[in-house]
Amino acid sequence: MAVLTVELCGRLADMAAAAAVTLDVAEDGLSIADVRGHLARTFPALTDAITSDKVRACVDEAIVDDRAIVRAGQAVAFFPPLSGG
Amino acid sequence: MAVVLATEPINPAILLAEAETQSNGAGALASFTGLARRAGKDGDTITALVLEHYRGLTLASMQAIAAAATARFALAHAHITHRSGRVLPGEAIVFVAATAPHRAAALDAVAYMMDRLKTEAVFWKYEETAGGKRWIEPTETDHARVTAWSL
Repeated sequence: MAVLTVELCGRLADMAAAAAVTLDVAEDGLSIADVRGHLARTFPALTDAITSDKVRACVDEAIVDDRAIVRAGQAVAFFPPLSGG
Repeated sequence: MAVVLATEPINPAILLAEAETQSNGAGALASFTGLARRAGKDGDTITALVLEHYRGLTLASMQAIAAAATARFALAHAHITHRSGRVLPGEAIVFVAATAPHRAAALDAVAYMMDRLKTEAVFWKYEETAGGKRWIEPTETDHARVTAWSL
């Protein structure tokens, strides 16, 4: 098993009371859908947000869909709706 | 094209003067400066607006917006400077400028860049008040404005 670090951006960090979370992953990785499920189980307060399609996944600075596979060492982050300007 | 992610206070007057030097003989220069408010929607006092960004993706999202405006409105020059970090009331959050041969394109380009920055630039922001944090997300109006540009 190796460790995957997942960053929670914006209000997600407040909801989970953590800016980053680590989880164990097997060598063949996890899908983003699995990561969302893991986060929902670990942080019940995050469930509604993390399972919403308004919260997007980012891997190595690219937005990906829920089928994307992530492995240890990749930069994974979840983005709530963006708000610039 | 000048696109800057600033983590310290910015001076819109200096940025406007810089944009003017980049006019390349174009006849129109339009700009917009967004300032941090002193009062929230409920009238409560805001002590600061705090913006968070994400690695290189934030600057890349700003560059994509400036490039799209340059192509769409045939700009001579596009400028976006956006703050990240803690912005005090009255300080600038964002400065956008466009130079074009005529005013309509310059004015439209500034509105276009601002509308897209609101919903597509990779930032998250919250207001700091005596009662705590209040996360700010785009409104229905913000989404409608950006959708209107793609119609």
